[in-house]
Amino acid sequence: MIAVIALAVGVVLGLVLHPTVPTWLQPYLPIAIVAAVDAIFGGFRSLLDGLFDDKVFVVSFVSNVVVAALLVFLGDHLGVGAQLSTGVVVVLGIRIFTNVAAIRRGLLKA
Amino acid sequence: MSVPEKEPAAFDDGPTAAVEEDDETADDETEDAGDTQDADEAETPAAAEDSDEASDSDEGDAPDDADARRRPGGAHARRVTPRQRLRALVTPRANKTQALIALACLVLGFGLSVQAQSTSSASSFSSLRQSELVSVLDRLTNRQEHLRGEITRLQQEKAALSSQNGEVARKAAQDRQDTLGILAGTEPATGPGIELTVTDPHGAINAADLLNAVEELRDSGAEVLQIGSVRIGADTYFLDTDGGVIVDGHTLTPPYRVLAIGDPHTMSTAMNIPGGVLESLHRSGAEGAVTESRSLSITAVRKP
Repeated sequence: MIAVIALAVGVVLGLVLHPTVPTWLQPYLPIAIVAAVDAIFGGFRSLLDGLFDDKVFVVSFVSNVVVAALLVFLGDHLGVGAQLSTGVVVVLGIRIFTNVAAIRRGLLKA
Repeated sequence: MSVPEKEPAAFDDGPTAAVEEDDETADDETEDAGDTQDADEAETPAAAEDSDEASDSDEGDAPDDADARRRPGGAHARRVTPRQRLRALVTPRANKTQALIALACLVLGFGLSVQAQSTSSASSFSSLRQSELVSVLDRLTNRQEHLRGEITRLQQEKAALSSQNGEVARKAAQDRQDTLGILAGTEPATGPGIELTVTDPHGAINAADLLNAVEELRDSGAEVLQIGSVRIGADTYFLDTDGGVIVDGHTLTPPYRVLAIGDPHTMSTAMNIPGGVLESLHRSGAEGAVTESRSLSITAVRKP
């Protein structure tokens, strides 16, 4: 519940404050967000499985975001930025789907 | 992981096939928040019995105590279904877990909206690479030069039209009238072009073939066209009839003679390409011949 409220508050904050994304951050923010979504779903799933641990959650959240951004950064400097971002997004997308599937199995037993 | 009965098996040595699938899923997919726990539990499966009693009362606060990480999910799941955990989660509680999740969600929501805004507000250029931007800039510069030239030309024309007492204006209007007259077919025209002669001894040519030839000529840049004694215009029609073709009400009989004014070389090349007009005429049993001419006179006119 708090999570949903916090998410809404975050969205509203972003809309109200309307910060400009710095140019150096622009290529990495979308990937970082996808990574964060993945971490959130992973955390939610582990919580339903009774395996949730806040330290692991925070570390995985931060490291997911950082590693995703770092990969894109590395790819940009190696000249394969576009391909590597696609790869990262694909992998994260697969993970999100499997996490959601596990959550669904847990909640709906289907 | 959904069925509680399966949970303990996930940490056993010899899981059944169905359970193994779940087990894999768990190991692979829970990496975010679950990998460390998985490892911990794999090492301490015996702890299951120890912490049984702790699992029911405080599942919402569970991660708060240090024991939580070592409490196996199997033991936990025996008593608490995911639905119950969700219910516990939905109830707002001011503890560290909820605060952390809230913080993460806050950051995520903030980032989401910021990124969505910057994506919708930014132009498509922001996602282009440097080389693409350079070529876009080049194109724009070229276009700008072109348009500047046009501005200069039109301004000169305007100055000429307004200064010289109507003489230039009259001449420009006359030029325009001539051009339009030629295009509409109401004026005779002279210029370089080709003559296409189609001989059809077996009567194999129909209206569609002739129309095809005319269209090919137009495609290859013919400006003025005449077939037989008929000037071809925008609304010319071709109709099959016995022993010939009706064009705009005139019955034409073979050999058909098509005159076209335009670039002779381009048009004759277009007639001669493989699969083009001459080849298809030949295939249907007729013969076509192209003669290039430096000065061709088209005298047939259409009634305005």
